[in-house]
Amino acid sequence: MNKKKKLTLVALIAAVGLGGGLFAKEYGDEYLLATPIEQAVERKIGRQIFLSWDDEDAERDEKARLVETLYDEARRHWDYFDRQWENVSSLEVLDELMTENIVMKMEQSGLLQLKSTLTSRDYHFFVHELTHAWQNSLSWSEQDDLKARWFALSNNAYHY
Amino acid sequence: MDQTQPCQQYIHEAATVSCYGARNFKEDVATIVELVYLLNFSKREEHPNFDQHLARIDQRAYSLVVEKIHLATEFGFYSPAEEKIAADLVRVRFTRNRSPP
Repeated sequence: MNKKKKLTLVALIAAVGLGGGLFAKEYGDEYLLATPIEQAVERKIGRQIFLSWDDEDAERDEKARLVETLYDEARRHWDYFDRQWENVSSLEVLDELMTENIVMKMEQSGLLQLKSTLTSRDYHFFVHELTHAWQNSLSWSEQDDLKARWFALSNNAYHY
Repeated sequence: MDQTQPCQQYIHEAATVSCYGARNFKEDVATIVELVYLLNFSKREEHPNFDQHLARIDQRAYSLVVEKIHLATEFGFYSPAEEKIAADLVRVRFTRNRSPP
């Protein structure tokens, strides 16, 4: 096999591996591992929940119920919950070691990440993370305006 | 979990953030709006020991928190009703608990 064919083969294997990994993360969790309780919560909140592949069924059920509680409590106590929830595409419950002090983290993709050690009393963290989703959803001009005015109030005193 | 704990942590953090900018902009925004949620929660649930925690906020932090709550509302995160409840609670409770000069 000449060098060009070898490179092509390596590239093909890498592409299949990468695609398979992405497919497994996106669909494997749902079609291979999701429990009936987890699926019921997903239907209720209208978003897919990604959990650890190491979780047993009981753990998956427990985490799914936690997501449901956080969702219910935040929705009950916040006038604009539904409007902000539109900015979230999916949720992921992470193991504690992966997040350090950050309880939940919102990414540009709309993925809302929650720490597995949250309790049912921690729904204000849910609101905190949804703030990031809201901020990202603003138009560029709105984001610039908000940032400029917020900075002015804060006397530009942020430490990065 | 102790129900006062998140509030206590939050208020302390809010005062720090608003006075000294100890964290970055995005986290400051998220922390302030989280405060509004807690304030409204405390209004509904009569949060125990909330006053003494709020008393930790000094004059400068108190004013900034109120202004930032208004800004977050203006950009659509909270309803005007929620802003009013939160701002009123901050003002009333701050005044009531402020130490005499």
